[in-house]
Amino acid sequence: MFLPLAGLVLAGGPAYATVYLTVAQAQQLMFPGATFQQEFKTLDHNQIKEIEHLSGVHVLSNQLRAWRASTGGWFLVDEVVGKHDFIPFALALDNKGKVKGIEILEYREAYGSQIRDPLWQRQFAGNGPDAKLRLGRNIRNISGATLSCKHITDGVERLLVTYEVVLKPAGD
Amino acid sequence: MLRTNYAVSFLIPRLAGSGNWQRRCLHAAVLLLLLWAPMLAHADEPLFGFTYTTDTLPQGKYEVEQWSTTRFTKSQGNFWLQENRTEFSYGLSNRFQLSLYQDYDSTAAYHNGPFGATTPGEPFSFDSPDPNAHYRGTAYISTDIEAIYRILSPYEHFMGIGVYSEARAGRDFFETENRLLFQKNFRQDRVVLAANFTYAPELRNNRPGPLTLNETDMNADYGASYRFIPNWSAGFELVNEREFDSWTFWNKEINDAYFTGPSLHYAGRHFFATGTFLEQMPWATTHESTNPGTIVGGRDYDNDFEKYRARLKVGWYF
Repeated sequence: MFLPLAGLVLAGGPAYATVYLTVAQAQQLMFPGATFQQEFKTLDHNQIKEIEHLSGVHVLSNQLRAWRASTGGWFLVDEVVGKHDFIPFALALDNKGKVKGIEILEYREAYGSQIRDPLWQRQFAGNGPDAKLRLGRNIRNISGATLSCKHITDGVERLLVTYEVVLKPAGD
Repeated sequence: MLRTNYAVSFLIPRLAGSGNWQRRCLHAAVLLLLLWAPMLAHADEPLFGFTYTTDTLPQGKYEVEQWSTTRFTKSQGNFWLQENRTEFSYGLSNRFQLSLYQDYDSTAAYHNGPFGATTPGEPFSFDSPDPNAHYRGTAYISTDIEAIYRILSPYEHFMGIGVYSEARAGRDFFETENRLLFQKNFRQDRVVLAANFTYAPELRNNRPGPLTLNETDMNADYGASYRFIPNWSAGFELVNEREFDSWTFWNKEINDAYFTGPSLHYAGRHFFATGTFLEQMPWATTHESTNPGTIVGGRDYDNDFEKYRARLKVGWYF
């Protein structure tokens, strides 16, 4: 009798998701005409500790999904905690490690999809890790989508620091 | 995808194969639920059965909730009380939520009260059956209005703080329930601690006559929850209920009971389900106004207390 219920628990993945962009679509949107070199990395313990220390954000996974763009800059794919499920997003960095753009790849929540608003996302542009991005301080909140705004802000801050710690060429 | 795989690989062969009819019905029900769930949608659902968080509906959004609470087992005899609630909530603003609901209950009692007298649960206290009667009842209990205002958000501030106020009017009783809500999140909001402190004075008429002050409830609810995988949270609740034979809460204490137990919560995109099972701990003590014979084995069995409580909430967001 409990097997079907156990199955239901195991099946508790996203009940429904809105996919806005695939990774390939996001790459072409954020770096038009570029080709990409995959440079996935596994963060070691010390790197994770340093990223958490510098960003103040918990690192969810030791896997870094990064692509180097032929036109300069980096394309990163990550996810942050949503109300019930993860929110996958893409971050484009210029060759100085500053935010070039953000795209929400998929959204699985009932409310909060206002984080796709280009005006809201534009706040991140040009910021590097020295900006210390924080919701309510230098990133405006969207009422009714607070949790999503907070976690995307934290996620971008974490990836900016990750670039500094892991991807930034020595001497830059 | 995993849900669909499960439906195809596990349930459908069992439906098609032989087996007793109860098992096939169960598999069919689970299959329907699995296939239906993706069409359901989900937001500010309760992580706990009894403890509120400070989350409210976004402005202009609404939800429908159905509660089922079963309270059972006294120190002796037979007793169960089935409480049902149908609730409609609306987000007036991003921090102010208004709800309207109806309560309707069923119960059975026999030789369950102090000294073996048949004693209905508190929602049926308008009835005074014979002490040896096999009591059964089904009744509309109350119509209720509830407001929750979030002062601070746990996602923006050090912690979430909210106020909750409810007015309940029903057959021979009127009650207000006022809560202070606190919420503190950790680990990127996947760990949630919540606490509620309740002041609930009520007017109740146990016998024919006008409404008279009956008691004041002072409750403290605590909950801890962890989202262990996407969509699923497991938690634990501790509920302390205290009753006073007064408007005040510093004298004439009647009861003091502690309930604790696990909770499990699922949230889909527009659907949630939360189950909690509580057992009364043997921590009750006698107070100034405790009714004789209600404390047995360290547990309080007055008419608003029992050994076990199980609550299931399901809801849909729109």
